[in-house]
Amino acid sequence: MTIHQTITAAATPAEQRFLDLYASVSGRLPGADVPAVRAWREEALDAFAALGVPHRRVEAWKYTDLRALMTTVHPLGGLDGAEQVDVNASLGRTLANVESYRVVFAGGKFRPDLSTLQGAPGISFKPLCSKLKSESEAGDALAALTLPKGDVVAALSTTFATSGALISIAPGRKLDKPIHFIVIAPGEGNAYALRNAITLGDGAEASIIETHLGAGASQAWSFTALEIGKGATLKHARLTQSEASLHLSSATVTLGEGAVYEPTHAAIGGALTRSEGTIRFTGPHARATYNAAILARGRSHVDFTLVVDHAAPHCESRELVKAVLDDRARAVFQGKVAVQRGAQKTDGKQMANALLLSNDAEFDSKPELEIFADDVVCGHGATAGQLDEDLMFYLQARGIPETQARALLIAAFVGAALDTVDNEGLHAALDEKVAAWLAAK
Amino acid sequence: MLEIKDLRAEVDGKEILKGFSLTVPKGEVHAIMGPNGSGKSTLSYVLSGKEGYEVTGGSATWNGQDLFAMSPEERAQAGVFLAFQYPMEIPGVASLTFLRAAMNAHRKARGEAEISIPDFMRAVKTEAEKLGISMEMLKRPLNVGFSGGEKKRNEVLQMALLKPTLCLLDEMDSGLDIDAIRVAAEGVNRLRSPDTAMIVITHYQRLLNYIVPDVVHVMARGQVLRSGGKELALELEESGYASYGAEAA
Repeated sequence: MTIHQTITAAATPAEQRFLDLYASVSGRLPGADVPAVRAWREEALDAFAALGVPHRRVEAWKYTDLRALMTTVHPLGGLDGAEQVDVNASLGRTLANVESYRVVFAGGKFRPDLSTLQGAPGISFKPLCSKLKSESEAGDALAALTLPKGDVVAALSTTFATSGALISIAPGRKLDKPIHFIVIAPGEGNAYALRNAITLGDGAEASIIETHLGAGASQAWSFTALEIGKGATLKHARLTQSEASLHLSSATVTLGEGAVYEPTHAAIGGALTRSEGTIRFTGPHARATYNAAILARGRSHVDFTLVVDHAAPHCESRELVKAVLDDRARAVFQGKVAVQRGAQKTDGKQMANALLLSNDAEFDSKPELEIFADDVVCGHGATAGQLDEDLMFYLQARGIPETQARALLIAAFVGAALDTVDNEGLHAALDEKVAAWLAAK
Repeated sequence: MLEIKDLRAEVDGKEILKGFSLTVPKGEVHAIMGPNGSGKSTLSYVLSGKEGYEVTGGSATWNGQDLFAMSPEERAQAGVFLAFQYPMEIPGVASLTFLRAAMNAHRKARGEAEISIPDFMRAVKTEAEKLGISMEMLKRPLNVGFSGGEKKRNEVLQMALLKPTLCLLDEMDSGLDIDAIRVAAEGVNRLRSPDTAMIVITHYQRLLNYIVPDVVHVMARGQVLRSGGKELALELEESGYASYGAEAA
């Protein structure tokens, strides 16, 4: 026996759980008998195995130690029969009343019976599961579903995808109502994986609402690739609201010349939410305005990680994050603004504000600027504080009870991040969700 | 009737009010004048219940109700209104939302139903017009971006809508030009009634040209040192506060 032993890369228990899960379900995943699809999944599994389950020594996951936080991997749902769901009840009356083209995924399965996007004018829509099952159609789908490097959530979503949507909006088409992705995790103790690819042709205008709802201890992994063509505009509102679930999502967004992207993300509750995104400017004069609102209490952990990559000149990015944290909740905002060589006249600003309602709540903000151009305006700021007692007194001195005064001020605080939502019904629905969260304590 | 007896109060452990006594019957307007640091604003905060202003002795009752036994909102609901020297700016809370919340809180305290939106809008519009406040302005966040005069008129609008019975006007004239003072004062005068008592806190006599007081009190070193008729204000304008042991304000 020598002193040197061969060291083999062994999967940690956390990683092994995913590998075991794949071994147990691979034969039943959509497209399991299509070699190209199988290869596509296994390439993603290899990427995951190489990356491993992220932990705090991985810089991008410093504040969200997934290895420690994700102690179990639930069985994969969406493989068997459709579960019963009441979409409108899950959404709540106000949100359900927002007029939209619906794309419903319940329990990891696309539900054509509950969806209304099929056949909408100017929109090409294909549910992923049906494309993957057919040898002849899989090629096109897989071409639109490439795997970004180094993205563990994208790798997991690809490996286990039971469904998702391939959407393309024709050039110049202005949608008359939003497309509403409704993702419901109805069951207790299941995991769901989705992959979406959405393309807006040049000059198109669209609005997407994405609602993730879960009642039980579910897990969800999703990855979305968005491509916004020259002069196209996309408004993208996301609501993740789950009582006790783990939600890992990742998105890459590419903006062409003069494109506009306005995402707004509200995360309300949830045991663990990690939302990762990359917004890349590939053409000049494009603009992205990212707004995020976090409302967390108990032991909730919410991590928003965003990279804005200015790879073209004359582009503008704005980021505003508002976090309200109570009890032992923790929120993280990692915002990186990268300015590539030649991306002159970049204007990039980010601001993160946290309202700490308890001494045990925690907000970690990590702004990063990486600039390789010399004629740019970039800046960032972060604050964490408590409710302003003077403002509280002003409201109380007008007869408004303390609880209501507090709620008004908190709603106003997060409202600053939700104000860009110009769909009145959606705005009202978000306000209502915020009010319900405030009233729940 | 407002009855304040031998009131003592501290801020950060420092005694500011040192045995302050005052009686204001319903229907009267009393002016409290005095130099900076005499405790005028402290008095208004103590009466309206601001945190950090600790009452260490004495009493204050409004219509027989012990003010110090009530929370700030209960005092407001009992009719006490403090018009702030520097009204707060509250980003994200539209003036209309705030006004409706305040009116409904008062109605709830009286056991009445919430005001309907048409009734509310009608009431606001009527009062806002009198004060030259546009409805557009009221859709904006409360006091954000308002001029000094607009803020004070907004305070008067709140008074008009909430119909308080005890008004504490804390240096309403500070930062305002003569025209703005006149508009705000006219608004206040419209609220004078046999059921309402008012305390006008001010440094200067000029505000009292518009809100004519029944009684003027000189406050210095945390106490009322002298009381008199409205002519006392003119005398103070001439002689200043030096004879009350204070530097000129």
